[in-house]
Parts: sequence; C-alpha cells; structure tokens
Amino acid sequence: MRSSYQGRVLNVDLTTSKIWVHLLEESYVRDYLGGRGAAAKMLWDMTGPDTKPLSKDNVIIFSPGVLTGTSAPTTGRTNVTFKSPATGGYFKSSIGGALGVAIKYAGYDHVVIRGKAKKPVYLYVSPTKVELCDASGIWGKDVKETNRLIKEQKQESELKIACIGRAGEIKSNFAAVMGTYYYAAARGGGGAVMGSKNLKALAFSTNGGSVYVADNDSFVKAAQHARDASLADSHSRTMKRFGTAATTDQMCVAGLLPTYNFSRQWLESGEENLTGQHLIDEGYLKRSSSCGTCIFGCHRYTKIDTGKFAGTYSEGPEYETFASLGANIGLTDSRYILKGNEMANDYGFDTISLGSAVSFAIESFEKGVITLKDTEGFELKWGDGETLLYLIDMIVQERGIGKLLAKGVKVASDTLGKDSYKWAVQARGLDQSRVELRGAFSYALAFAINPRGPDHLMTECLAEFGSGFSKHAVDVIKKITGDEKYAFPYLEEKRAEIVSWHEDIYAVSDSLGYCAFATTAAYGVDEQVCADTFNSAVGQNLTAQQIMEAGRRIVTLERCYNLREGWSRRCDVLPWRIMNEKAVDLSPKQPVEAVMDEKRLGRMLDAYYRLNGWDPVNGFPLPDTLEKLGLGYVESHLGQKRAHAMTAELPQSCRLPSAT
Amino acid sequence: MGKISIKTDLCSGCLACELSCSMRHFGYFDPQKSRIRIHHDEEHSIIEIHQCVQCVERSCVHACPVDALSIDPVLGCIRFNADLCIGCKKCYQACKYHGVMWDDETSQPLICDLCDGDPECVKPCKLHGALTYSKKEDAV
Repeated sequence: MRSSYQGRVLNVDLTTSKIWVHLLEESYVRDYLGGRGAAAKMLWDMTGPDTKPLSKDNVIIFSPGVLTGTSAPTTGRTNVTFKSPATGGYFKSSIGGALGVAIKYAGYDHVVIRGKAKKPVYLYVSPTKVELCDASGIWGKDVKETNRLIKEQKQESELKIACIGRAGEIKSNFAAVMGTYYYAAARGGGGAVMGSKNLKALAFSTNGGSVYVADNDSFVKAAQHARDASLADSHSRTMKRFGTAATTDQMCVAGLLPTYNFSRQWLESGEENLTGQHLIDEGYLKRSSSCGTCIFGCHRYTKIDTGKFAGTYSEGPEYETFASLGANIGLTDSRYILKGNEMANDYGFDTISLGSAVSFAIESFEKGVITLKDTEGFELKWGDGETLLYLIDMIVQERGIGKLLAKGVKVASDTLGKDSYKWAVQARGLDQSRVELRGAFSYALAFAINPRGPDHLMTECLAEFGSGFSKHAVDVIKKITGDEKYAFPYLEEKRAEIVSWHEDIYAVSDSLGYCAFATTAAYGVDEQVCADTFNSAVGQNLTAQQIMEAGRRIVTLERCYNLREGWSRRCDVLPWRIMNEKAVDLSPKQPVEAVMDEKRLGRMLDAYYRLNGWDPVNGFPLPDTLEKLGLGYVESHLGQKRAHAMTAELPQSCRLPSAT
Repeated sequence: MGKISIKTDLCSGCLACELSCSMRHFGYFDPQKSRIRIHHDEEHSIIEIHQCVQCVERSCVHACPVDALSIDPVLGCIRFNADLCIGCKKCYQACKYHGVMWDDETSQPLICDLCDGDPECVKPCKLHGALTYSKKEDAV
C-alpha cells in the first residue's frame, strides 16, 4: 500500500561492517505511530540494563517522522534515540533542519547503528548505495569542516549530514549530534554515543527517491488545514519574527528568568540584549531559517560583521542558549553569547548543558570548591564573556577542570563533593533547561517525571501561562481541564491533566515528525489534525482519541524502559536547588510561597500517577494499565522490580545527595 | 496573466514549495520532480530559487526545434507538449534564469505552469512571503 511510512529500517553494524534492511510490522505504525514511538520500542528490544551507554552494545537510532518528507507543515523533525551516557536511561533527542527529509528520500524510516568501528568511519547513504567510508582524515575536525570535507570527498554539495564535532570525539556527556550544520539533537550525549562507536557522521544523498501518501486528496486537504490552523494562531507570527528568544526580557521582568545558576530570577540590566529583537536591531540576524516544510521559520542565521568578533557566524542563539550562555552566568554582552554559540555548535555541544557546566564552575570557584590551580590561573567571574569562552575551550580541550566538566555537572559534582550537589542544577544526570519551575507548576511536574531528566523537550507546558502567553493557550487549558481558570501557573490543581495531555501530544508530534511548536506553542496542529494527516498519509483510521492513546502508550513504554533500569518514584525529583531554595526574585510576584518542595511536588505526582493508572507508592504503571495499553509484554521485566523499587540501590545518575 | 514573485531574502529554505509542486504534478513527493528548486548553501545561509519567471525573452520556446513549448495565452506561462518533445535539452540549456528543470527519468523538461492559476508552491509560503502569486489585474 502507498504510505509515507514503510517501516523500512536500515541496519548498520559497525563491528562487522554488515549493512542490511528489514521491514517492521504494521503494529509499529498503528500502535507506536512510527518515528519516536517505533524507535522507543526498538530501543526497548535492543538494549537493557546490561547495555553500557558508551559500549558497542548500545544503539543509536535516527527516525524521521511518519509525515517527514511530505508537504504537511512543520514535519521536518527527526528523533535520535539511544541509551544515554548522561542519565543511563531512555533518551530521545529531536533534530530539525533538512536531515529527516533526506533520510526519507533515501528510502528509510529508521537508521539503526550498533557496534563499534575499528577506526573512524562515516556512513554514506543514497537511494542506490549504502557504504561505510574512512573518516580518519576527518576525525578531529569540527562540524563546519566535517561537512565541507565529506561533501568534497563525495563531490555532492547538497549532501545532508549529521555529524559530531570534537565534543562527541571526547565523549562528553553533553555532546550533540549536529545535523545540516546548525541543528542539534543536543541533549543526553547522543554525540558521545556516536563518538564511542568511531562514527563521525551519516551523510544522505539528495539525489532521487520519493515519498507517497495513501490518499492524495485527503492528505493535501488535511495538510492545508494544518497550515491554516497554525497560521491562525498568533504565536506563529511571533516565532517567525523573533524566534524562540521572543520574550526573554519579559520573563526577566516577571522574575521567571533563571540567572546566576538558578539562584536568582532576573538580571539587573541588559536583558533586552538576550532577545530576538536585539538580533534584528544589531544587524546580526541575516535570515530566519526553517526545518523541513516549516511555515514558522523560528531558527536564526546570525553573523557579526564588525568589531572584535567580526566573522562569527552560526545559527541561533535560541532562547535556551541566550539563557544558558548568557543570563544564567549573568552575561548580557550578546557578542560573547553569539561567539560562544558558534563555538558550541562547531564543537558539537548541547548549549544548555554547556552553560550549566560554566555556571556550575563559576559558582564552585566562588565557593572555593575549585581553585586557580584547576583553571590554569584563570579567575572565573559572573557576567564575564572571557570566562565563558575560556571555559568552553578548556572543556573541549579537556584541560584542567575542563576534563571533569566535560563529563557534565552531575559527574563533576559527584567527584568534587563538598556540598556542590546543592548548586549542581541537575536531576537524573541531566542539567535542567532554563525554566523557573518555582513559578510554573506544570513545568515542575513535567520536569520531575520526564524520562530524560528535567527539561522541556518531552513536554512544553506553555499553555499554563494562559493569557500571559496567548489567547489560544487559554482555550487549550479549557479543553484539557474543562475550565479556563486553570490557565494559571501557580496552581497545583489539574497539573496532572495538563502535563499528561502535553506528554501525549508531544509523543504524537515527535512520532509524526511535527515540531512541538506546532502542537504546544502554537496550537493549530491538534489531536484531530494529527489524526487526519496521519490517517491520510499511512492509510490508518485512528480517531483523535486513539492517536492520543498511542501517545500515552509511547510515554508509558519510555517510562518502563527506565523502571527496568532500576528507576522508580524516588527518581521523580527536581534539582536540589529548586526543591530546597526559595526563588527570591519571584516571591513578591506570586500568590504562593516560591518553593517547589517535596510536599508540593509529591502531591502533584500522586495526582499524576493516579490519573494514569500508576502505583503512587513506587511510580510503576499498574499491570492493568499496561494491559490496557497493549504493553503487557513489559510486565515480565518489571514484576520483580516493583516489590523492591523503593529500597533497591538507585542507578548512579539518580542517586540523591543524601544517599551519596 | 499570472506571475509568481520571488523574494529570495525571505526564503527560509523549508522546501515545502518543492514538495507541493511535485505532489500536484506527479501525485507523490519527490524534489527531483519539482518545477521550483531551492539551492541552499546551509553553512552560509545563501539561497537561490530557480523557477520559470515568465521572462520576456522566452528563450526556451525559441530554442525548441519541434514546437513542444508554447505560451499560454491566458496565464502567460509555458505550455509543454510531451508528445512532440524529442528530449534534446535545448530549452534547458537556453534558459539563463535556470527556470527549466530537467527530468532525467523521462528526458523531458519540467517548467512551471502556474498550476492553472492556483499555484501550489505559494500556499505553504504564506508567512515567509518568499513566493507570492498575482494575476494580471493586480500584477506589478
């Protein structure tokens, strides 16, 4: 049957150099919606508690969405799935740009890499040829040059390449997989997994190949509706004009901008430099760029033309980068942030965790936990651009304290000791992204149960800000909870419902290839639009409710992956600082005490577990819940663990400070 | 008469135009079948958009030795008669605007026909504004 998802998996074993293709059963698209869902099932099957993340036994799976390669709007995303060296758990990182479209046109729905090559290689894929090529001459090069060299070798200027820079080669726990130059599957250390396999890059030819849908007329109609509905949401224009850093300054004024390693929530001055408007005003913005078929184009291609940093060019900074390399280290000189962003992209670092490493180092220096000896005599200071650039170089070159920081804040804090866990703003091995959770309760709950760790890229609960975000956000909260009064971020009530809905639609978005901004920032692509585009593309007949149930199946399987690793309710926590320190700048602005302590979080978690049929005692989905979702097969792996979940030793990434 | 105006500076490189074109004319998605092509130097964010611009010269029509190409009297776009085409590629070579694509599979040209006055490529570009369609009465 004609379908935009054929279940075609390209398998590469780097140990044996064997390359083969197999086809997935229909259930992978019907029950798991292809993309992220099918990859989660494959990761469940292919890896387990015995799999060491940086060993040949781990796999890394590239999965464009089911709709990627079609004209459905904003469906250019690709899921990169692996067992994370940072968290030791399930990890999906999403990458934009043109990579996914190229994978689909090469004829594959998933590319699964396993094993370890004897020497550096890259994978070349065209519709007629798949081969492993020698990357010895490319190893050691950074992202831009890697792209140039592979294109030169293959004499194909329009190759779409995913690669690692030096960050991946040194197996940093926050090494990204960089796609088509500036797009990143940033979080969780996917780049380190590639590095551990001696895999420098995957290069996809754009010569040839086609993608079909099941019902052309219905599909074209559904895609046009998705476009119209997205454009009707005012936030689409905001994203187009200002990118993701549209409101950094407003967040600062509201006391919601994490600064100085999450110890403060606003900046004394200069916050306007951390915005999309500033990129326009200073002439840095040269083009708003898009992932495949995106109608928004929130990405920014930027260049500095004059002054000390003339010639700096990259894409970004995104909001998270402005906040991580800027606000959270007290830095508002945008030139340094653009330079740091360029370096991070070229070395292939996740800018969120890179910023975390820098802010952790500065605070550790301030508190005397690291000294001039560790920094080769360099004095680390808040708000200092030179400190940022110096530390980035120390990390990528693994010099002094940089070698430890490259392992991430969790490992650095475990090694340094001396109470440093209190300012290591991480949980489950992942550094928290830049949301002030003490002023956003849905986000807090979502970050606590996120199988990746505390970040916004498995759920994006902007809707809880209601009219403070957009009028459509209010409608979404009303749809989920039945009453718009819950569109208010300081409430505990209905947070479980809000988070669950966002988790489910996010899993659907990722699997279909939709950008999460189309479903959870602008709201035009709703459950029905997802179902309509999905059904007409693959010839299924899912209702809006059924497609959301499939989303819940995916979320639950990912949860079970981590439970099989030894995780439990005890891992559903937030960073120590967030749960134990008050948000000082937030307090006058909010109606409740500005803490996200164990009790408050516990109440919201209880409600979440009950809503989803999970056992509140240990956080395990109940056997009945698994049966209803068609996940009965996971029970045999969890049964034994249920009883001991609350007493068994936790994996290192989840160990709480009191237990270390 | 109809015309698609191209503003390259506003193109974000999403390629939805290529895919929409291919679906409209072939019933499936294949950028190599598109009559509009986006060439994207991603490193430096340099974009070129190639599509028939309904030029004054009409070099492709003049270059065709078998009269397979003609000008649509209503829309002003190029009409292609596949039955007459001998695959000599002279139209492709004659167009200095790179507005004629070549379909290696059929050995025939691919030239924008404005989708009979309702061009598909323009539809996904609404917010970007790189492609806009106007009819003669409001054409600039």
